[in-house]
Amino acid sequence: MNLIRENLFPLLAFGAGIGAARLGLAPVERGGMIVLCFLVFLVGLSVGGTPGILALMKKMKGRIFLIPLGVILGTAAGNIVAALLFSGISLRQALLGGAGYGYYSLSAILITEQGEPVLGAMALVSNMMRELATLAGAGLMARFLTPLGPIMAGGATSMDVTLPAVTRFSGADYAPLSFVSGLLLSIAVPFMIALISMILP
Amino acid sequence: MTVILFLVLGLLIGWKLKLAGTPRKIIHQALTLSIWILLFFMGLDIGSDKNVLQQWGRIGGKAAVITFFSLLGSFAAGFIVWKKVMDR
Repeated sequence: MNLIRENLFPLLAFGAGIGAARLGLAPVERGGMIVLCFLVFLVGLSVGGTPGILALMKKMKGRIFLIPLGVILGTAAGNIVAALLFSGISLRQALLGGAGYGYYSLSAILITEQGEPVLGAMALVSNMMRELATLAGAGLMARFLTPLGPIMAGGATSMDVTLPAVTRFSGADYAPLSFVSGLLLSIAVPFMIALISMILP
Repeated sequence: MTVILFLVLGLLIGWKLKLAGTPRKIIHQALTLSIWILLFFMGLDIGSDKNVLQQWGRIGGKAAVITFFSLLGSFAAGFIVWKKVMDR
């Protein structure tokens, strides 16, 4: 049920928007931006208000930062390779597409609101693929790519949507690590998209 | 950037209020609802953009390539973290 709620409903909402546009409904001027600000405010409330979050991070010491940092740097490195190998993909496209770390709603909307709907659509699809690949492949990843595998793949989603898969296949010991990594990556998304957009205008 | 400002504001207020129980549930429901509304707006944006509709096939292919390499890089980084720190 959760899986349907988390994956099917967002797609339906997106599809309904496309359908409405095809029927002639015009985009709401700055409507997305206002809801977006509300959304990130809620993300902040949720993350900042997590009970015992600072204590949990202190317990894990500096090690906890290595996993989300690895996701950020590893994703960027992979994106750079993709841009080098495929002439149709620019470095900017590749880096912005990757910088959602699976958080498709946030990253796609941020990019679309920058006035780049084509790239926003690509980020949406790419990050959905990342989430679905993690959900579908967590078992294999945990087995062949160390217990960190599903956490690295899950990226920002490893705090909620893919956390059950991590718990199941990497083991419950990895759940706190997964949660904190996903949380830090969720916060990192708007910063990374702003940073990449600034460096590669 | 406005978006980052709202994020930091939320973080600070959330941290001050230490939300648990019912308020937390309400926030998560509001979060889910606002994601749906946002995606609807995004569908509106994208559906009325001729470029997106024309390039839909290419968008999917590029997205798959980027996802694949994002995962590859992340796994490589995961291996390094595992070898250096976790596997003692």
